[in-house]
Amino acid sequence: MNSKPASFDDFLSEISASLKEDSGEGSLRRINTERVLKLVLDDIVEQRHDVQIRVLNDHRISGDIGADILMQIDDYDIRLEILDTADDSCRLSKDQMTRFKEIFEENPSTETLILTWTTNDLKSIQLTLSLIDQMTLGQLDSVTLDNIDSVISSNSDVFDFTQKTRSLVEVINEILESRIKVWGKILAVPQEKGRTTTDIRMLFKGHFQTCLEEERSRSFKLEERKAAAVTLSEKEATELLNGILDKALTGEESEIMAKRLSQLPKRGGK
Amino acid sequence: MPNVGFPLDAYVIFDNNAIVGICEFCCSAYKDRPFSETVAVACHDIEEILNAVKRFSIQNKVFTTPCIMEEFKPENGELANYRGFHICHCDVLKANIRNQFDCLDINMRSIDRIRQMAQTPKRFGENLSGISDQDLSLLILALGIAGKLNERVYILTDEEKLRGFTSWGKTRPEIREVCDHPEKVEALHSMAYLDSVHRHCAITTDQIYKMFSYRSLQQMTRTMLSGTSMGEMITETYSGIYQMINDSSKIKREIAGVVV
Repeated sequence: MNSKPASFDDFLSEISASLKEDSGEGSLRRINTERVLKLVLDDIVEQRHDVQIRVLNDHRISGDIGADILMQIDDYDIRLEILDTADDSCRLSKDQMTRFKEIFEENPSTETLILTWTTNDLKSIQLTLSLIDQMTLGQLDSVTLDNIDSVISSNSDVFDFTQKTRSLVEVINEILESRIKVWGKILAVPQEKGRTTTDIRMLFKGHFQTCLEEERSRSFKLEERKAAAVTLSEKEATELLNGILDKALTGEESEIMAKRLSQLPKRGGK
Repeated sequence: MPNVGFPLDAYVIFDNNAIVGICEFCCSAYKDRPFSETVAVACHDIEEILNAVKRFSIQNKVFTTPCIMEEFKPENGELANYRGFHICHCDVLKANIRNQFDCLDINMRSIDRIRQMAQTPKRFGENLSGISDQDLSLLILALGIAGKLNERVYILTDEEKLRGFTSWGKTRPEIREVCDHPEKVEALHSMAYLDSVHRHCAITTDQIYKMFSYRSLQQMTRTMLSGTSMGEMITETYSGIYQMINDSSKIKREIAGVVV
């Protein structure tokens, strides 16, 4: 059941705008954006029955290290930050990138950070941690990215996304769809007898390996977290998850498998 | 450069709840006096607050619509609980308020046109059933002024749906068809606007603190009576307001170089 963003409902945009923006005009732009954003998110929550979504004021949950809005979706989070623009251009500075990186590092469940500019049509882009790293390190020339191509020159201090933005609804729906697609692909494997198990295993192995690599290469602010990610025992985790996959393929009930998964020791624990 | 608040050079349109808010606050300061005296002194204070707004508004006027003026019935609110309450004194208050405002008539058929807008967010209900005709009359008046004069127009309203609809509606093509400059229309919570007036030193910090305190208390009482569990959110919202006033006071000190 999707919950309406009650805590965000009566939020007086005027207050946050007045506290966050440096100018009266900027405050007005932010107010309008927050209100329209709230309506857009309301409608998304209302329409999406395939995922559980909660919309919250992130600063209430995460304090200063949060973004403006937190969307808790099934088992992952999307955070959303509002950025002011007076002329419809959508630019980011390296300083802003550093702050966005902190949001990821301090809130590890963040799948994506959506940046929405204060334009009438809520121009937005999505940022991931690896993308921020590539941009700030100036490595983009050698990387092909689906969503921002080659907008950023390696030595630039300001990144211009004006031509690469899309509407907020489009960006959010794309994220939601991309998360569902992984499982959709697995379910779409041909149901030929005798081969089904093998194909699913191969797909699973591939995805699991990617996840492990992403976790290891992820940047963390705390060294302990980084060490835990690097020393994560691949063998143990693989054995456990393969065991659960076996059970799943033999028709074991999902509740029982969920219990087994929840018995995993916490990262870094014994 | 500190944020001195919203730009105040604009036409200002008042919703009923904003008028009632100011009236009830001003009366509450004298609630221990006989009702006739309460009203008499409060009228003076109300005029002062409205004059502070008029100091910055274009043409030095504040506007509303006739149907909002009709809706203004202080006898149905807090005042009915006052010692020695009598309707004839409320009439004095009403007459005083009417004198403060310029009532501009609108074409009520425009309301139906707005209600027929396509793809309105569900929050506002089917055909905007969640927003009253009176509220929509304010938006129509604001669009009329903005379209004709190409000047900024503020609607001061405590009704969240009207504020939300104004922000959403002004980006829609249907509105652009009837108004050349819908982007000039802004809907603001009355207290947020008054804080901007405060930042420009037309309202004292003491007065705005008292006003916020009164409104906070009222809001919390109402919430508790309705039995909802929004107390935490309201507390947080109002702590935000206090922070805003503190910022305003600081800005005033920086600008004026004096203790306010």
